Amino acid sequence: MEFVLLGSALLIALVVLWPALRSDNDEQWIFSEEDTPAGRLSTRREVLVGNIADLDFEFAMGKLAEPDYLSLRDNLKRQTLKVMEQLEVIESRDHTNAPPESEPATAPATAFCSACGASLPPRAAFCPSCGSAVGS
Amino acid sequence: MLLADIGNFALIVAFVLAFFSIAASLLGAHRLDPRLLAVGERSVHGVTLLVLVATLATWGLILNDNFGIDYVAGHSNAAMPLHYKIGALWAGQDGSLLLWTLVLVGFASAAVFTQRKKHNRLMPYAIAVMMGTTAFFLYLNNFRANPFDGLMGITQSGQEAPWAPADGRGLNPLLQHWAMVIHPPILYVGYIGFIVPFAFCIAALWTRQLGSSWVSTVRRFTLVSWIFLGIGILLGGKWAYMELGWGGYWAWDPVENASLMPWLTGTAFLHSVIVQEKRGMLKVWNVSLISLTYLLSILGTFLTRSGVVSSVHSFAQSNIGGDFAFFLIASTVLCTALIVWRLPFLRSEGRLDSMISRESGFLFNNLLLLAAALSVLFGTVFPIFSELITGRNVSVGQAYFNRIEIPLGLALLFLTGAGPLLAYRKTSKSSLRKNFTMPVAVAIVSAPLFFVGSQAMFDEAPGVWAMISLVLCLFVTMTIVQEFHKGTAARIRKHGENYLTAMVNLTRRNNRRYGGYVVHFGIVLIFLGITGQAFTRETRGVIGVGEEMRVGQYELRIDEITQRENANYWSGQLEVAVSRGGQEVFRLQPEKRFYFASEQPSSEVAIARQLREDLYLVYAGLNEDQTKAVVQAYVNPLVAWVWIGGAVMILGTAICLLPALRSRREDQATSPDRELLEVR
Repeated sequence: MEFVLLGSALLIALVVLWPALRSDNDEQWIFSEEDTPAGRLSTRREVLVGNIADLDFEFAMGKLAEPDYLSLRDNLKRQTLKVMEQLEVIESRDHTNAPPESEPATAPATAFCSACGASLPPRAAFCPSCGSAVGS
Repeated sequence: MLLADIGNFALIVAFVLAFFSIAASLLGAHRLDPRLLAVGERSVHGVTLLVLVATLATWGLILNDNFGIDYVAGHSNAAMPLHYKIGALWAGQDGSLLLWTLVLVGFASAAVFTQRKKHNRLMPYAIAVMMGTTAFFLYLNNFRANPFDGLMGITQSGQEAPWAPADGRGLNPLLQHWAMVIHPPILYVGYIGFIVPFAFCIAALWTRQLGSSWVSTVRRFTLVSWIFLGIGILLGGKWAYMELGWGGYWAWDPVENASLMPWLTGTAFLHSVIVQEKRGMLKVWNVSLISLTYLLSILGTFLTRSGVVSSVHSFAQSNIGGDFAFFLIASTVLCTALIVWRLPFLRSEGRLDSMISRESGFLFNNLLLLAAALSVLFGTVFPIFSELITGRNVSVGQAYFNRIEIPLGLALLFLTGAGPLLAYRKTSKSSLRKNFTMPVAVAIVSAPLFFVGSQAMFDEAPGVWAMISLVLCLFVTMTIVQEFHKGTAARIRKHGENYLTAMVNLTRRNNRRYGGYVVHFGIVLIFLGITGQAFTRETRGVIGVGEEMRVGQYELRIDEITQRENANYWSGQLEVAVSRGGQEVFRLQPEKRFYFASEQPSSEVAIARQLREDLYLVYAGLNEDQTKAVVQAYVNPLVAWVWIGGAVMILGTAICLLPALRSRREDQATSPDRELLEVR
């Protein structure tokens, strides 16, 4: 019985540790889209567009006077356009910086955190050491 | 004892693996090493698998009548039917704590499985919080309340040796009821589900990612937990109503209160996160609310199990109160410190444009819900502090709760109707007039009708609170009808759909909003049911066969008193003919049982259920000379609407959880086409 239980424990350990034990696993940390400045702006844009849709709907339901509606919508529209402009800047910068597909990728230059000086992984949006936003 | 060995092995390995998962996740996050993070995530699933094995082992021991195990001997016996044997897992301390751990790790695995890609930065910290809590519960499962402990006896030579009685003591008779078989697992899903939003909240605080992202991620988990907690509370009420035999379903018992408190703060959170998602406001409030909800869930467990307050749940008491108190205090201190530390990152992105807006409506609703939760908390823990300070255990009693919670509840009911009529950001006076006129007018005009109608139906005019409640129920219903109608009309104008299609599409495309209104209607029905208590009638009679007694509009006549016996219990039963206005309308069979294994009595009440009122009969036993039956009879008006309201709430929540259909225009609007932002 003890041997069966011990064997089970070893099997569990092997399954759990497998990602770290695999010699061919050279997976790199990739920030999810929401962790990038572009991702955050994109989320913000969706929220603002949703707010405009809500506002339109509430006006159609008769919950807002027309002058209030127009001024609130104008305000939201300006905020949305500003976010979209910022997004466009980031996207065009990313596009300009991206290497041509045929060119072999070169190792990126090591970047350092401006707040604490720790080295940063490629495409990092935050410093893994102190949490400061990169570029802030 | 093979199953016990397997169970013990699974529990101890799970305990070690929980710590390993925390270490791998935190180290992986520090080094940004995906391999270590994957190890941390796999460990979570490993813990889940092991706890599942331990749970199945416990069930195996119960189903095999393995009375050499202390827990099995104490909570099961050979004569018990299968469904009660399954329910025996959560009938006592050790087993129910194991179920608690199983639900906890189930949620942790679900969160890891569904959110690992989207939130890889928050996930390691969320895992650390979830596995930290799991480790605490596994510590209890392993060392303080182990369901695999064997029974020991003394041999003739005076030596201690494993011992098994011929039969177990059986399930507590009060728990031998269908609602009690499903009430604890459902309630646990409710309580424990709040661990996921709490874990993401702590992760967001730690990583300073305090925007709306974590909030929208945890919304579904919060909603699922919230509705399960709500169903659990209602099932608990249903059990109390049918099994405890005192005629009601809610008595402000400390354990009822313990489940109500996180439900109230969870309700507040569900509303205030909308403001954070849409406006980037109330960030401090939201992290505090979800932390409070989680801590109140732990407090609920502490109150149920510690025995510090007397309760109908005394069957689950033991000596683990100190462990829970330590965990609760440590969690509170850490949580508070983290929130205070991160205050500079929790600044609001917007401001309140007007006091007459949906946002301010949410804020008032939050304040009222929090006041309700804290006043219930005060009343619940008062006996603990009174004993500490004065040495006497003084409880505040139902009058305290009714005096405070009834006005708060009615104010909340008013906001349930008024809030949706307000627009986000700003509502003009003319819009207010336009939107409030119809519901308010209908509610006011109907007030005299309620007065006359109550007298005709229940032989009694409503009191002030009952009257206010009935009028508000109608007011809220009218606001909901108006919201659906106006939204549908707006769709018809725009898309030319027929009324039904327009209403269905309106709901599918705004499912959170309109699902929420359906939940509100469920709340209205529950309030209606609760209001019925104001008209309750109660009579106690000692009557023999052929004799009659009266309660409300009903005449009761006992036709027969019988006795029977089976392997599980002895039972005495009445055959009661119920007449109204001289016509027989029901035949009811209230029963009194005596369970052999546990040597405890139990009342099986008989209820004639109608939408208008329940007739509720309790057979309290024979009188002193054993010739007549003692019958307690109640007429409980409108109580069915409490359960119907619960079902409507489930329907509304299901609508909220459906994936929303997006309109083509919305899809286009999220594309970077500036033309779409023009006013149409």
